[in-house]
Amino acid sequence: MSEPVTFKGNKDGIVMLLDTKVEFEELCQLIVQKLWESRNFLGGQTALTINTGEQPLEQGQQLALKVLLQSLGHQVKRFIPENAEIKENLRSEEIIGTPREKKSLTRSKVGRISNHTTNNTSLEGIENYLAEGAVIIRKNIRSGQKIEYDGTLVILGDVNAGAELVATGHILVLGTLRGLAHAGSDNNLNAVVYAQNLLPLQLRIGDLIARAPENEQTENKGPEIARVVDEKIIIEEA
Amino acid sequence: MGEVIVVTSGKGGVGKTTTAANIGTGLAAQGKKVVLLDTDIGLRNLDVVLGLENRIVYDIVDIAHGHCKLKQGMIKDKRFDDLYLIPAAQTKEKTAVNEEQMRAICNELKQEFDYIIIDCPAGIEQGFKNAIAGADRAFVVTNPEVSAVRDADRIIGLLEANSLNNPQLIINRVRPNMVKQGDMMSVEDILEILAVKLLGVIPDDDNIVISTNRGEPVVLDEQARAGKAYRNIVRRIMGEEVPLLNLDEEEGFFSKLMKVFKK
Repeated sequence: MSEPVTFKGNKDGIVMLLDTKVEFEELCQLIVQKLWESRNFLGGQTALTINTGEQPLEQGQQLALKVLLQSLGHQVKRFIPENAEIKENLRSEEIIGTPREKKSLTRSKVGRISNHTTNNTSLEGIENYLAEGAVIIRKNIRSGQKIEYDGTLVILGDVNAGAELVATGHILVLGTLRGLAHAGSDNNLNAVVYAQNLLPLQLRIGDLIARAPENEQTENKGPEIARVVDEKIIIEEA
Repeated sequence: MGEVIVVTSGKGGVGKTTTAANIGTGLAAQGKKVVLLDTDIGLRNLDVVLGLENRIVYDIVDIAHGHCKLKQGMIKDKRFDDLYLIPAAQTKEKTAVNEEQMRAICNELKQEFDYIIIDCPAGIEQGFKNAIAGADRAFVVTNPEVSAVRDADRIIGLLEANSLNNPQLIINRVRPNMVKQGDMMSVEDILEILAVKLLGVIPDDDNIVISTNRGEPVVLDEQARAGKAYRNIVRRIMGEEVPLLNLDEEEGFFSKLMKVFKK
């Protein structure tokens, strides 16, 4: 198997190749690890083009990845799907990592992108406001644990009921959020809460509070993002 | 002037929180003004049992330290207008509140409410001391098990040492059939050891698990045996003379039928 995360350089700069068949949460962990390992190779280069391979990331995942990378000091130039032209450029100039296996491209999966590119507002919202610092925590946050951070908080794991996250910036949970999340705690209404599976009992953004409906279904609805629109916290598919 | 009642046990898992939730809800259902106070800081549960978890903004630590007004820290119940909950903090420790602060909170609540029911944490450390600091009266919950009874005895001693005399006993999770077969301590056995006044006996009932998971106290369930037992306790607290529930009588139709055939 090829590595799920590899870097390649071409005339456009650095391209990060992702194997999106890997579980997104795991992929993010690998990205963090790989960025660290490749810090010498990357040098001062902070701008990254992301090649998502034959199975593009959903919009919410792109957003999460963008914030994750920004929190690590990288900018995302753009997301590109794997295509022949770029691939050929890369093959010759591969610097690190093992070559990706060629996989047949399934059309149906590519078709999914269009469903998710229609609503770009949440993406733009994030770009307009980004906390200076960010911290990534790679563990499950359990009941009674409270994490406070001055900046953007990224959790690679689950946040259970009874746990509390408080951040002056955004909160991203690449897992299930069942506990309490308070984003933009210094009254920043531009902050958002993103979770792969958003099931909190209560959400707070700035000084606004929203609580879960009494009879909410707990099935996995896919990634969602909570943000403030007209002084109200709304939750939408990411 | 209201009355402050602490529900305690020493041992964990005997049903303190369930009892506090049901007594509080039962009293509110009788038209009393009630506030439930969860003092189990760090391991709060009462909010979950009452189905109020998603409404928590402030907690007892915020109130004790003046981060919010007492009124702001009280969560109104979904079912009764005169039932409130003051939740414990989940991310702090027992030492976040002291006995003096607890006494002050209890005294303030007494002005407005008929009953202040305190859910005490397991153990005999600071959390227990905080919980009993402002109490006028104590209910001790135990199970028909030697370990629970041993701990109840210890607790009764500690209550008396803190001038909370004449605590009343609630025996929870009694299984009449096991008692009959001599496999479980009987109510009489327990009373002989503890020598305190009995407030009530709650039968072991699957409905408790269901109601706890749903966040709806069993005392409101007209059918459940445990609900009936709690309703009787509520009436006794309010001064009525109610005979103990005859646990045998409450057998299912099928077992009654079986008995007829056995004869």
